[in-house]
Amino acid sequence: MVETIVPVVHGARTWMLSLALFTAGAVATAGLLGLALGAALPAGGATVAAAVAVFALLEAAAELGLVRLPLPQMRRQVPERWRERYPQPLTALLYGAGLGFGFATYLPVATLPVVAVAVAALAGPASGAAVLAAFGLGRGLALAVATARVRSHEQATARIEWMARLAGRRRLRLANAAALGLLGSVLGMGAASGVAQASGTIDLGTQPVADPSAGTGVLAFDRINSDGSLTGVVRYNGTFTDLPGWTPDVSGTSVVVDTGPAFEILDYTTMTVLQTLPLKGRDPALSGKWLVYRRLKNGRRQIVLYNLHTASARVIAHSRLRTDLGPPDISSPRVVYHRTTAGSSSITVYRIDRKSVRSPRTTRIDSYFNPSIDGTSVVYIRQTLQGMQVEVLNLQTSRSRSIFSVNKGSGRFLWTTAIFAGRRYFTVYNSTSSSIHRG
Amino acid sequence: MLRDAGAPAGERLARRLASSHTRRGFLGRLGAAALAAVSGRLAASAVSPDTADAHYYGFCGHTYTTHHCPSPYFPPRIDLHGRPLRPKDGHRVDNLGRLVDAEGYVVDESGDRLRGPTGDLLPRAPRTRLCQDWVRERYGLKAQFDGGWYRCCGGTIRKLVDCCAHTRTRINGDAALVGYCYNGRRVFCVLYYQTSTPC
Repeated sequence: MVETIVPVVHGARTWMLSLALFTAGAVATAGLLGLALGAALPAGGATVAAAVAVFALLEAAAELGLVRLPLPQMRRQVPERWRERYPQPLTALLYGAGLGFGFATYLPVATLPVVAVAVAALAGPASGAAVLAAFGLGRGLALAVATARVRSHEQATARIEWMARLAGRRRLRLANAAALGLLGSVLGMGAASGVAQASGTIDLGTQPVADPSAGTGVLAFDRINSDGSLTGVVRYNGTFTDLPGWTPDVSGTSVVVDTGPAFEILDYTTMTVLQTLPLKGRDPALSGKWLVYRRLKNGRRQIVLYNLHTASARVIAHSRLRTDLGPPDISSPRVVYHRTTAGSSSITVYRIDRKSVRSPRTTRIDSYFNPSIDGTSVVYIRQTLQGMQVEVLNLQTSRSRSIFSVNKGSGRFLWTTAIFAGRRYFTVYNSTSSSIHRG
Repeated sequence: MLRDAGAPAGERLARRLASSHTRRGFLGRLGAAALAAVSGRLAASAVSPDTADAHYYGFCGHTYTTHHCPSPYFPPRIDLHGRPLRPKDGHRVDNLGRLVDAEGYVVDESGDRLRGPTGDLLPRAPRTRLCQDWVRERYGLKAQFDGGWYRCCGGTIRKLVDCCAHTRTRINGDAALVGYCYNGRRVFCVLYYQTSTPC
């Protein structure tokens, strides 16, 4: 195959074109494989990362000859007839695409299976595509090294033999064992710290932050000041602006904050106050003409739904003081909140249009809290004896899956959540800091 | 087949090891201990130094073979209603093992309510009956207290309570015993209640 793409017969220009097409083909199919693997399974937690770490360390041991493990591979070479049938650039593209898939050819080392398993178990589609695309790029680079400045087929053969000697079967395996050992160790340490899967901390400055709320091109959150007070902040078009209250919630181009004596609704694009509502309560959330918040009244906890157009309010949930009636979130026509009593904990959804209530998630053992909603997707925190997880619940299928977790004893905890257009945000904190992650 | 999908895999495996290996099965005990450490809970007594054989559990001279019920602490100490208590001092804890006040909110050792990063109280968790509620949710069994054993323990009477259910398989994964269960029920798991009656 290498001898097909040397700059001997067709000249340097065609060689460069072929090399570029080979690399493009390899990157494209490897990226597609990563995309499929990343989408195949939900990103696992620390336990899954620990399992992948064990797999990587086992393969490292196999590279060192300590154990025997089979490699999933098809020991095939690229079809030779292609170079007779097609022009060289097209042949190069097809060869690149074929080899970029990885498993359809001979695998001298176990790196690809380990990374493929890690991508399937721990990464999402985009990051999976990026990781495996690097393998395709690597194949292109290897071909460039093998064929650069080659003047004859004999020279090409000699170059290949030189590369084979350089790698040496033992040397290549030792290097690969070291790489897999390093990967296993990093994953193992990540699993031990309780935060092992793909999730990113959003850079919102150096001060602790919490309570995310997102919209198109906008993220609102609370900055936790050194005296413990909260200041609502909105990040719009890369600019951070302080809000005149706290616990902000975004809807369209509006944001609502709690100023203490009232709720204020602002247009965050101009920072003009649209409406001041002298309502007594906390944790306001906005969706179109609806505002929802919670309050204490007559010795009971209440969740109130307020119609901004008619200025009318109605209590949609209430409980005794000892019942934990959590902060509500709204995505019209649904309001979501948690309700935890001594006997159970549930995520409850109220339909504004039907005036109906249902609890798609209820447990008598664990704790569910701080849900957020966007359409029919709910993100919430589940706390068990083993740790805390960010769960995403599909209200249509009633299926829930974990997208992030911290282990008990890791010193890290999960707090408030937000969801918008499939993007999930959540607060992670420890004894000294608090940050907002996107997962 | 025992439905224990709710229990962590490590705990299930630890239980299986603890209930299956032999008296001299040192590696089995070691494995159970390691798994228990990894799974974060267990069967501490299944491998505790004062237990001669991992087939048996015991306290204050009483020996028994049925493993403890699922609980935030091991061995599971309960109050009069069967809800969890911290074994060392009998302080009420929620299902997550956190100290709680009378309202069910999480407190520290001095009784102050704990708060999250924004100053709000930590969300509370249920505090449910380990036999009737936990066994039902985790194992799909309708369980109840039937009878128990009494021993003098730490100067007061301790009652080892049988959590009984209509099942042929106990929490260990092997055959359930009749014990002090009635009407065809068998011992699924056990808990204890520390009375204040001196002995």
